[in-house]
Amino acid sequence: MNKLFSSRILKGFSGILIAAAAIAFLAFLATNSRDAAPQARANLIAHFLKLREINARLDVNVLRSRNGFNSDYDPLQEGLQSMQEIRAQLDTDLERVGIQAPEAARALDEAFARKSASIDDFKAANAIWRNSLRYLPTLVESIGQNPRADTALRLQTSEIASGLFRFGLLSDTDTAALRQLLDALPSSLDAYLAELLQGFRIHGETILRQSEREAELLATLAEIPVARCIDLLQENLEFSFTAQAERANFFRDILTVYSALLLLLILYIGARLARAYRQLGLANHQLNEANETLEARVEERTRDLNAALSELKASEAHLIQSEKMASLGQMVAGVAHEINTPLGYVRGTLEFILHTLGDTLEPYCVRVSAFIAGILGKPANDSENQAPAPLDAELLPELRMALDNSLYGLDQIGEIVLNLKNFSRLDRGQYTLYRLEEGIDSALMLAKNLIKHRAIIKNYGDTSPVFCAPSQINQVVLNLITNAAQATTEEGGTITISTRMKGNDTVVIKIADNGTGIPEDVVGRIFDPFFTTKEIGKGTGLGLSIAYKIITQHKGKIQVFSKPGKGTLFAIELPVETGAASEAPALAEDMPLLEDD
Amino acid sequence: MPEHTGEFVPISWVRPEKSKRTAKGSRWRFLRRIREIGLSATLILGMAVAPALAQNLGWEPIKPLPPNPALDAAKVKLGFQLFHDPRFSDDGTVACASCHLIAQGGADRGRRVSEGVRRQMGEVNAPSVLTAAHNFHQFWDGRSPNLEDQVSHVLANPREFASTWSAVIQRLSRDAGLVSTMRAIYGEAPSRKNLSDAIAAYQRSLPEISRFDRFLRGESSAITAEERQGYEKFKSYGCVACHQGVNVGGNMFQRLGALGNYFADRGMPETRADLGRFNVTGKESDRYVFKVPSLRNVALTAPYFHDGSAATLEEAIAVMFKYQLGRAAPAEDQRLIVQFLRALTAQSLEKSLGSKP
Ligand SMILES: Nc1ncnc2c1ncn2[C@@H]1O[C@H](COP(=O)(O)OP(=O)(O)O)[C@@H](O)[C@H]1O
Ligand SMILES: [Mg+2]
Repeated sequence: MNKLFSSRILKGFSGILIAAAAIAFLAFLATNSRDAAPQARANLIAHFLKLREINARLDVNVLRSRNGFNSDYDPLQEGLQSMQEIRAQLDTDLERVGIQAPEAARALDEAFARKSASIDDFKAANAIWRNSLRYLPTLVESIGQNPRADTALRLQTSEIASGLFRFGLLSDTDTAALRQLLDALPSSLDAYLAELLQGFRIHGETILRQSEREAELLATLAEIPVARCIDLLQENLEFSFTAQAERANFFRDILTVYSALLLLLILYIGARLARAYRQLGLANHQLNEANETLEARVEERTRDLNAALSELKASEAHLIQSEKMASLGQMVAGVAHEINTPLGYVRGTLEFILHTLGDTLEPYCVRVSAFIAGILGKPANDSENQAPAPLDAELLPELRMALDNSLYGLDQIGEIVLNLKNFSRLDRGQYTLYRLEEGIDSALMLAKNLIKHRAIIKNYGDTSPVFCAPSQINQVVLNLITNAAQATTEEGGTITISTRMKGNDTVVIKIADNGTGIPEDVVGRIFDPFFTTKEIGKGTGLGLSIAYKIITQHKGKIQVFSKPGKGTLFAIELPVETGAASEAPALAEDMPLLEDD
Repeated sequence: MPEHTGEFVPISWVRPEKSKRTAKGSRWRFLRRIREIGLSATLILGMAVAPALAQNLGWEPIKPLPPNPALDAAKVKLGFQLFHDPRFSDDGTVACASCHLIAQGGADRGRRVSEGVRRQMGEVNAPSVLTAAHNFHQFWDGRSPNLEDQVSHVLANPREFASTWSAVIQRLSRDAGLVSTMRAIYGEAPSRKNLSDAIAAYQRSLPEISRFDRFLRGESSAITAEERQGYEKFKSYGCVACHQGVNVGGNMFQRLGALGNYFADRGMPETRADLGRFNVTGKESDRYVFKVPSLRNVALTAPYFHDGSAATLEEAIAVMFKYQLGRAAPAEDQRLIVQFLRALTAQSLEKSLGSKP
């Protein structure tokens, strides 16, 4: 019980687990089959476009600053800052899409840092270069205006100045030559001029140095592969996207299959449920139907039970009866046997007396009587002193008659005892070849008292002996004769008993009377056990039912033909070879010998 | 490299074909492009060299202050609170506001260097925070890329706050009022990120226009004639080569002593801080390189330079002429430039400017 309970819990629990696992797997597939949000991807693409645009604009702004188109360096800083911001956004978006920033991103950052540093350097160099370049014409003019400055010096300074300008514009001037020219500037004796020349030299050298530095930085900037890094990063990310999309597609395929399987499973479960419901409905329907027919069935069953009960009662009654009859039969047989012996003595004695009386005593008595009469001569009337009176001549014949009568009575007793013995044969139930007329006679004998005054007409045919249980057949016949006797009156009652062969193998017994007959509404029930129309003490209602059973067991037939007021005829057909010996029923063994007590 | 020149740079919306150019080829083409641009722009360059012409074109190197970004007022208020909160420092004696007095120009009351925890002296002169939001990097050596990051540097500096974030957060978390305010704004407990964010937000709310901004926006009477003349000198002498853009500087690095040896002449022993950006990059070319400071509110933020060596604007201008421009200028011109620089003061703070020299 406990084990069953826990196993049920376990079953339920594992069911829930399996369902949960199925759902978890579904969720896993669904999550993995979701492609990176197209919006986020579009954002990323937009970031790349912007990065490229800003990078290009930054390059342009460097050139503009180099060539004086920009009045300040804010555009450079703005460009760098925008790129940094977009780079940060890129990281955020990548994180949202679930892709790790690839190596190319680091390369981009590195390039970007180098570019940033180069631009810082560029700004510093450019600012100084520009200032010195701007100051140079002023210096040339100041030197030119100086009275101590000769024409050669003027030419020298202006040549250097134009060379520096040209270098600033074209970057193709020979800087070594310019440096030589600068170094060749004379150190004037005039302090003021010397100071001017020194300034010229310093600024000229600054311009050269910063120009070179600028050119170098611009070249470096050109080499820094920010644009290429952007391309590479985008390429990498697009590859990642493709991989992600492929992965998503893969999971989507699995998801599709899995969903289909789940759907099938659900359909299957649904079908099973539906079937279970249908069966349940059917069962319900049947139950309803059963409920409806229950009454009828109960009735039917009750009827069956009642029938069985009455049958049981009947067989119980048969049993009791046959038990009673069996012991009665045994007793009767015993009594008959015991009676026979004293009957023999009595009869022998009586016969002896009679014989003696006739042969010896009678003549002796005559003689004695004559002697006495002769001697006395007088009749012997007084008792004491008188001599015995001579024998009445009439006395002796009367005595003889009385003895004869006694003998007759004894014979009758002997006959009854014989019949009793015959009827209650101890071999009853034993099948044997038996002449039915014999049974009829012995039954008539037993029923003598019942049938007295009825006219008995015997009409025996030449019948074959029948293989049967004689005691049972006797009982049937006795029962039928008893019924016939009870249905007729002493005045004019006639019982006709006839036997004949029907074909070679069947004996027919007909027992007819001219009694009351059986009413039509009753005739159907006369073979039922306990059915009787007679008063208590006279009828048991078992006679015909026992007869029916015995005849049926002998494979025979018993039929009734009756007309109320006219009479009744019972016809029994018995096959000569009943073949029923082996299957003689137990009941037959204890068939009651007599119907009524 | 783009194939186009000029203002409009059409960008191809189709991905460019993979470049097969070698670095050398690229370099050559780039130089050639410069040459082409240079030649075609000779005339314009000439104009650029001529300041008068440039001005006629409305081509100003200094840009007016843009309006401050839209900020969460609650964050700004919280930032203000935190800016004045000494719990950020290790011994609870120093707040941001200890060395950056907003009402006095965002720097430290004329001190050459400032006092950190345990009365330690700082290494450099405290720069103004008023327009720090427009600086391209923070600190003299530009070691921090933005205002948020900057907080951590000050916090960890042993001469300044000498603290750690965990200690600061621990201290601040004991303040139920502050914690609930931060939860209301950020939905979380105080952290390095949100504390820095609030302080940065506050600093972004600080920039305030000057009369010169109004002038740049077309209000020609916003500045005086002398100030205007000073501006012209400022441009013509080339100050504007570095001090340009929205923040009048603050958008580039420059070597201190580009045209003369500043440190040799200074007369003070060289310090680690004098190495400037070299301390950040380790590049030899970055030795003595500093962020060009913004000149907005400069009249309020004496002394000057990273070492606070110039006590007055006049002194500073003289140093700049000598070491950055490599030229001399008449005293009158320098005076005019001072006038111009005073016009860069936030309008609400002009009243605290001393009388004109
Ligand atoms: N020969 C007959 N004439 C008229 N009625 C008969 C005859 N034999 C039988 N019956 C009717 O059939 C009934 C059943 O007979 P039976 O089974 O022998 O029981 P019982 O004789 O004890 O009443 C009798 O009660 C009687 O009504
Ligand atoms: Mg009867």
